[in-house]
Amino acid sequence: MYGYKLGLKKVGESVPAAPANVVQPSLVGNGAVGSVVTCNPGAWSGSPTPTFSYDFRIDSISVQNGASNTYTPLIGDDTKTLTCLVTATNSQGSASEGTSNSLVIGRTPVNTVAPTLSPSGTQYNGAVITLSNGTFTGTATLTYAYRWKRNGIVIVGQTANTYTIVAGDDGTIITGEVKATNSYGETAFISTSNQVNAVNPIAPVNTIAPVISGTATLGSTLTSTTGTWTGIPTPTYTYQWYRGASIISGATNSTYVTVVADSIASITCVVTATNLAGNSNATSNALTMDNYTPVNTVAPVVSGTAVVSQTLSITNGTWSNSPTSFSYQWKRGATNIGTNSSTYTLVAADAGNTSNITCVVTATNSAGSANATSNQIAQILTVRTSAFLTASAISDATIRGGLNTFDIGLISNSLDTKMKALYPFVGGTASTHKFNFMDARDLDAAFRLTFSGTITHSSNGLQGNGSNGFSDTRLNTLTNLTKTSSHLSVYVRNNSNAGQPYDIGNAADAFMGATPTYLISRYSSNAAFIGIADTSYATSIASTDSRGLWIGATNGGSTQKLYKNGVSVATGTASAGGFANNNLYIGAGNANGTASFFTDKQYAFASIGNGLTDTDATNLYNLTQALQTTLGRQV
Amino acid sequence: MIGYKLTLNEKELLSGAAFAPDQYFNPVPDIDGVYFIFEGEVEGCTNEEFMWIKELPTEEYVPPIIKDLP
Repeated sequence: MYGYKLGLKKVGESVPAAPANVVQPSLVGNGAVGSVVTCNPGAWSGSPTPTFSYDFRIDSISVQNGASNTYTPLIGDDTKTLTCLVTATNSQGSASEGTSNSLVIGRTPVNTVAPTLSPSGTQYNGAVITLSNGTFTGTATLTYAYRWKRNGIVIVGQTANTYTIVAGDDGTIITGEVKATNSYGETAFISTSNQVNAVNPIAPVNTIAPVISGTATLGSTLTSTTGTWTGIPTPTYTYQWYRGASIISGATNSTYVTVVADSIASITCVVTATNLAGNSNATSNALTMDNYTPVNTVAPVVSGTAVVSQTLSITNGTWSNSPTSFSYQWKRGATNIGTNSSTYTLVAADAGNTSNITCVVTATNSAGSANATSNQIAQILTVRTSAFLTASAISDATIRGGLNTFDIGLISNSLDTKMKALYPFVGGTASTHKFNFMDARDLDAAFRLTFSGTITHSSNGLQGNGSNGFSDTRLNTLTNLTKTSSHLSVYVRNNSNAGQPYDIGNAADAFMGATPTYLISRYSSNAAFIGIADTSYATSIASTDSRGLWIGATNGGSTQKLYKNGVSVATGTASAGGFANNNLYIGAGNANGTASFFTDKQYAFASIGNGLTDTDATNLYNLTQALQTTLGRQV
Repeated sequence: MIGYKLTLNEKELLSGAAFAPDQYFNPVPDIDGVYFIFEGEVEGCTNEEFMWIKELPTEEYVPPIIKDLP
């Protein structure tokens, strides 16, 4: 320690001396704006004792010079450097000395925006509340301190800027406070501008069960309410729909659209309510769904041409409840036919006037199957009947049915294979009478008829006038028939004996006589005739009535037979000669190219073809008579 | 039977000609070799070319004597 050694001197006696600084002046204070800084003059020698003046300088510029040893920094001094020059003066002189230290002027922290809590308002146990600093001004660096209050009382130990709500906070108000500090000072604790109302949560409890509503039909939308619940905070809700006791995967909304799998099932919805305190379930009422087995609303429809060999098609019809697959069973009457296909090709067995073709469509979904029967396709025509009706443009139902039955009879008795030309004479006009049932084309080569002279066409058939009317078959005996196995037939409706009426036939001479001849004729009163002859007619019989079906036939030899109404009435022996090379005429003889021996008979049927047995002749009569009966013109 | 009498020239015009679809004239001689057609052909004729037949004279037709069948 240093001291000052004093000499012996009388009291009051001094030696005059100018001031001299002994201990350097210094600034006392923190330099904060608004805070007083005092300049300590230090220690000086000199006699008499010096007085002092203080020159405060900011960044070396004098801002206050005088006897005052204090200076209060201004806002404008912020961040600048404060120093002070002390001048000591006495009668012996003066001396100056600067401060040993300097101060950097700064600002203490000031709050401009209050701190806040986030989240705020009602908060529950476990909620973490963050305390923001708000905004403080002041010279850096600011540091912050935090504290929390429960109902205005500091919570001991909570000095972080976060706070977790605990059960003990239930019903209290939680606030926070922030204090900022720097080297120039600190603020008071500043309270938050908002607050947290701490509440203890209560788990959900169902008081009214959820209710589901909607229709029981497929595809309807079922809707579930949440039901009524207590609980703090207010619960949130989730949904799970059930089919019986099984969860419906993915059905977790408040609505549910029914699907086929729900058929006759009991549907419920379980609502789960959840909040911070936990969760709880409640099950709704149950709705029983309808049966979702497919139901037919528009019957299947079979379409197509009702002709053997044609293909019929079936539509599925219209169904409710969304079938996923269809199967088909075709039926002929009650008999199952065909395959599981939406098409069916008609076969010969389907032909007939009473064979109704239907198709049963079976629709299936996961709920089950159901059947629906189509419309009926009736009166399946043979191909030949269809072709004939088409060519002749005949649509009359009676004729259609009669011819169809007739053709089926031809087929079943194997007579169809023995016919080259067959004329049913239906429809009542030349344009319908001309067609050959076996080949219904309007061609000479198809043996369709051409009519010459006066021929009367009616629904009963065709009829000559006995003078010049006849029908040319275009069928040449020599080139189209075999002498030893052939036949001619005509169905005669009137009993006539006019002139020399040749029903059907030809010859190689002008008089139908001593040359190759082939004919049937009732040529004179009470006599009928069949002949395959060179020089004479083979046989004849007495007959009193020309009405009925007349058949002349050879069947594998020279024996020729004449049948009336299916019964053999005469036999003869064909001559050894050949056939005439001429067309066969109906209603007259073809006398070597010239029509002659005209008849006035009315014909309702004629055929030309291969040989017939006795059975064939009977069958042909039965079929022909049935056809005529159907048409109402039998004799 | 009443027929419609033809000249030879008319007979040649009509022979084999169509008086309606699929139907053809067939003049035939009578016992004297005069050719005739008949009511069905005249009434049924729709061929405009032959409408003149409706004006033909009519006369009783007597068929020629033909050889009887044995």
